[in-house]
Amino acid sequence: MKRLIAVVLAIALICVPIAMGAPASSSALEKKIADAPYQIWPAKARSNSPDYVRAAIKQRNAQGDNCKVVLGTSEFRWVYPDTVSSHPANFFGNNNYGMDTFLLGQPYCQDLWHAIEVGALSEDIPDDKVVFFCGITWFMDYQNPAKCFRLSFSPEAYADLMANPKVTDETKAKIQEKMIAYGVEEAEVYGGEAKSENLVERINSGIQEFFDDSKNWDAVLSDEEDDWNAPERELNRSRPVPEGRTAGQAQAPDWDAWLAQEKAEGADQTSSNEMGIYNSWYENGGYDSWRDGWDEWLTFTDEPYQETEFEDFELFLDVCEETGIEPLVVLMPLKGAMIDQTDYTPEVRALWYDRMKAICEKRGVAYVDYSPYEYDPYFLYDMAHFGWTGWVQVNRDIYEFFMGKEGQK
Amino acid sequence: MRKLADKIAEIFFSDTWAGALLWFVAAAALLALLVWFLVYSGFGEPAAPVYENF
Repeated sequence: MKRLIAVVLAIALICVPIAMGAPASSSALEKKIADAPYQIWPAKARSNSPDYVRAAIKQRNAQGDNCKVVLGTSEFRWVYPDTVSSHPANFFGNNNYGMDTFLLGQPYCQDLWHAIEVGALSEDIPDDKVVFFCGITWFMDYQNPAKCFRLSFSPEAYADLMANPKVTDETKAKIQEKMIAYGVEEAEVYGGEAKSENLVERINSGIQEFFDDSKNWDAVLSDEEDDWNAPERELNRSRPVPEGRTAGQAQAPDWDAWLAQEKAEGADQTSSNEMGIYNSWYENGGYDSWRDGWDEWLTFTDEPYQETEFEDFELFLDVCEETGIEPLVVLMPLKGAMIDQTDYTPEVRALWYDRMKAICEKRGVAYVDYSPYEYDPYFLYDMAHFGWTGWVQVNRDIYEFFMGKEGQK
Repeated sequence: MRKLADKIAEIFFSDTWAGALLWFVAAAALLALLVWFLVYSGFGEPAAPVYENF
């Protein structure tokens, strides 16, 4: 009997602290991330892995990055500091402003992808706040929201959204209906719900999960797995977080100095044309190809914008509201000098801006409207992506949203 | 030395609280070894770090 007591006490001594500490202890993935902090812009396999995103945010913040979640799409594609030094990966990464951005999202990630992402990650989003970059092109008639969703869909994020008790059954059902309408198999949408485990099965799977090291993170951590962004292009690869990024005392950005610097940088980088299009694309014939082909796709028949994308935007706001996440919606503009000649005239574009603003106002959601900057030559570096002065303005909105106007947080 | 080993073995197999203490130490040590091997040893992990190429 005494021996039995001794053995039971020994088991308790070893197992209880492990069981209690297991959720908080570093997983194998966290250890890998901690050893090599990187991923300024997590590519597809990483963006689509909520486990990766949680571990990366946790590790980066543990190392003093104070990174905040910023949701968007291709505008996050990294550019060299000597091309657009105000890109947030350069702006926050190369300076100690007391915070950094966690840029989440890739090409094809539109409203529904982001709704699922917030539902999956809501408990792990710092400050319960996100900045959400919403693009007018997602809504245009040429766009294919169903295809975009199928190309970007993350089963792991969907499973985590469905397991989030804060998201109501009604919202989950709406998301499921949309997924099916967009071509995701019903078995995949409803498959997880049929699986219910009894107590013994749950204990078995819990123990298996605890000791399972078969989950190989190599694919998730490797740029080679990325089928969204060709890995052979250096700009598409993940970037190391700059060394010494948190060194010294955090400073508040000098916005006026940044704006002056970026006007000069923009003028230099767009010297080949009057429209503010970056030199290499313009000089290599990119603009000419775009101009020759726009009338085939930048056009519409009945309605200029697709209703389904507005519904998805509302679903994104629903998930934010239910999970207690406060969004700041960034309405991304288009370059007027390029788009005015298409069917999307200033009046047609105003329909989208006005409707998006009305939705935000009705729901009490903060937004920033950059439509007044459509004719600022250095605001966007091509048709739809922020450039020199544009990023300064957006960085300021990001910074003040998270840090306050004085940067005191 | 031999005497000490005999003494420990005697206590270990006796029905006393000192014997139970030795059982406790032995069981805890074996369990700690098992947990270290399964959780912390890194047995079975890939040989090269995956982020080597970044």
